[in-house]
Amino acid sequence: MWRNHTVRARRPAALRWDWRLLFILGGVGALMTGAGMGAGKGAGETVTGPGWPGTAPPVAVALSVEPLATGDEPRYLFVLGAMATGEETAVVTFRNGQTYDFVVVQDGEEIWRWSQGRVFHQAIQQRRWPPGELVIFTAVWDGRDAAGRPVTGTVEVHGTLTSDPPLAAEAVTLRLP
Amino acid sequence: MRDVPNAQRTRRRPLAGIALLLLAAVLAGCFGSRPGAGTFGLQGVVVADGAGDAPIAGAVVRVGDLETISGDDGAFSLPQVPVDGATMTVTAVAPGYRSATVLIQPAPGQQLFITVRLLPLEDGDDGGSGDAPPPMGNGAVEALVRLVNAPSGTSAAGAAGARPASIGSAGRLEEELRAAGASRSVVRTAAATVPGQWIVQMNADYPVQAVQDMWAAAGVHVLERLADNFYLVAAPEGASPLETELRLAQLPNVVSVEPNRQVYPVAVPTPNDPYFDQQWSLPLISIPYAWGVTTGSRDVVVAVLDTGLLPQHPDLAGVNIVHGRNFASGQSATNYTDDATDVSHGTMVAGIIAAAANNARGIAGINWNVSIMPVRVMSSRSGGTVAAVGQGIRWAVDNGAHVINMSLAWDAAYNDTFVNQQIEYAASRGVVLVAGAGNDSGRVTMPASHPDVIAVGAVDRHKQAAWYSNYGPELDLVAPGGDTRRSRLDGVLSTNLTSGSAVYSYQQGTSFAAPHVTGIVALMYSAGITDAQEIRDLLRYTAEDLGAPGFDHRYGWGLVNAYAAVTRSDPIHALVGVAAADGSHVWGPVHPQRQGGQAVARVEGLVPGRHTVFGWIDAYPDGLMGPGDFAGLAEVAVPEDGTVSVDLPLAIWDTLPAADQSRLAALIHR
Repeated sequence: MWRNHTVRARRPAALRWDWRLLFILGGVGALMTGAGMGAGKGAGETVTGPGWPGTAPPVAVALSVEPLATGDEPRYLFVLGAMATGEETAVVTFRNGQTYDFVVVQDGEEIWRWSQGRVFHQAIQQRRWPPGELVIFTAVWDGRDAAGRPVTGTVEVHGTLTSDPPLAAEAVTLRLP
Repeated sequence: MRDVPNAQRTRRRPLAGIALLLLAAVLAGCFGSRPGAGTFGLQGVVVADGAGDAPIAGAVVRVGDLETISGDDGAFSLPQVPVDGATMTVTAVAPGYRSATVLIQPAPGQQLFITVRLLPLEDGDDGGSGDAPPPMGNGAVEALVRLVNAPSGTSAAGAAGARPASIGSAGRLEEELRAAGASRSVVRTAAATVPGQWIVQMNADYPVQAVQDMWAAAGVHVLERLADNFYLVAAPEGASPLETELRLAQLPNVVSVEPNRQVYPVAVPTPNDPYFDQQWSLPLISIPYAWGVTTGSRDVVVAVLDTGLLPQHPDLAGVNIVHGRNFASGQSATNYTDDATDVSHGTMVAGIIAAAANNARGIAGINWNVSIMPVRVMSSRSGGTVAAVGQGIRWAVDNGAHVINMSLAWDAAYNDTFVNQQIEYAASRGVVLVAGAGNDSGRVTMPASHPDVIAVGAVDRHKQAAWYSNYGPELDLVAPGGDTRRSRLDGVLSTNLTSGSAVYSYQQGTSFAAPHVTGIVALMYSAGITDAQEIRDLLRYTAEDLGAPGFDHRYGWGLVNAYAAVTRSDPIHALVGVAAADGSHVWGPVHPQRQGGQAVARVEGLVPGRHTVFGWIDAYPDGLMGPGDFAGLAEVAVPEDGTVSVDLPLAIWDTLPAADQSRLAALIHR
């Protein structure tokens, strides 16, 4: 079941550019601004990304989770936003072809991971993000665990930029019917 | 080498006999029923040398673990002999004759016919090789025999060395020297000598202060003191070589006189690709030397399970790209091209394996000729799925791939039955699977961690483990993966794509270590090494041991060695001997035994003192030590009673210092 879900998640283009997405992106931007990390903030500071392992890149990340009305089956849209915080282009290093991940945790145990069953190349890559540019990563979760069982109750959703070192957004609590 | 009559001189079991008798061996024709897979047939006759080739009955002929006895007509037959390396030794022993050893180069399915000539024993002959046994002691040496690549930083263009040949004088000289009592045996080979030059070995008692007078008395002068008691001397132009050699041979304290050997460059192909000199990763793993054996074959099919590739890249346009497949999303099943506009991972991987070489453009691939099968299992943008990898493996195997490269990974904790079955299916069909170990500085990822896959970690250009490379018990080998933290030039250079244009770029990652090994596997295939298990074993045992001795979690079995792999130069095929410091005695040779994955040669019965341990693998199988062979020596202090261990690295002859070459040549021919 999770594999079917993975297919959906790999195709963010399936997201319709409608009021819901605008709302979500706005939410991410608000989160970043609220955290004092939005573009334009930090005037007078010059922060550049070293681009090499061990040093966190000057990038802020934030997570948004929104339910999607897609019929009988519940769907949840995870959006991880990332933005360079300084006035210079941030250089972000990734150890492989993976750049982000989403994990759902319930009672301290991981029950679903977006990257499970996914394959990535093993070339180290660097990405350059100009200041103020919001980069978003999305996935759709069907409310089921890795074994395909429906999940009920409260879960925590984690979003991570899998840079080196990884940057984790503040987790979002989601209450499932 | 010419041995000089000297009351203090003793003789040893000579390696020289091996070289001599190889030349005497006649390898010919087909006979009888064909041997089975992995074996060859050996027939021949044992005859008395110099007695009209009279057959010798009852001679015991041994090869490997097998032996047989010659019949009344001297004939023997071993129809099913397992092939055990590129070079094997055949020994023949018969009462009243000196034993003889013949080197052969068998191949599976081959039928060999050899003639073994035994010399009758002379008075006082020990029957072994014409030598008195060396003095016996209670000391022993255990030599850890291992292979090394060229030193890091060596450029491919500078890799070419010099080739000393062997003694090449006429039989008449031997007869005259015999008549003069100056020699009991002379090694003859077909190679040329340097006119007017000899290498002279002195014993430990030679008068150092008076040595110049000694040379003058012999009518020669010293060109160079090679090492310890070895001198390179020359006679004036016009001097009679025979007379000079006789005078040298009759000097006191002289152990041996050997004509200096011709020196000429070894054939290391250097492609004319303009960026070849920036491909540091190739000489680091001895690939230019491997090109002296093979530059690949279009008959070998390498499946690249990746993001697809750009077949129109100028350095891939001439490559034979066979029918491929797409199992990733977004494209038709037959469209294996990479949809990337910036950075084409699959193009980089394919370029390392197969970029057109010697085409005066760009880089040189490890294989100048090979067939690439693009199997697209992931997207440059969004990755792929384990299911697509499983499908890709299956498709590649069923469509003729010999080798599969997977520069991709997923978490080893994710255990997928489907892909595991496809990997095992590929292995059962004899397909070699190679994968990058992953870049997490952590445990080896899948598919590399699967037991049927060769897991490849990364090193930088200084043979140090790369900062990102995964490690653990599943790691098999390391190969160049680059480290661009300080300079992009320290990355692995390959074909790529930028802004939609074909370019070359430097990259780092185990993604680029794996195709180095894959490319070498393809070269092995084209060199006739096609058994998957043998390929895997050879890659392991011929690797340059790095890190902790033997297998370790950081480097696996070590840095892959392309030349050793394509020449089947397993260290257990080395001949290892121990020579007294003055060269008067040689113990051995012996073959190393495998101990915990390492090759350990034990030579016993040594007298105490400072000795030289030396080893040789006839990687360029001509029965002569020289270019293309692995050789090395080490000094060791042997105790009165007990065993001393010594590290004995064997390097490609051409990379050895000239002094070591000369000394080894003198030792090995004893």
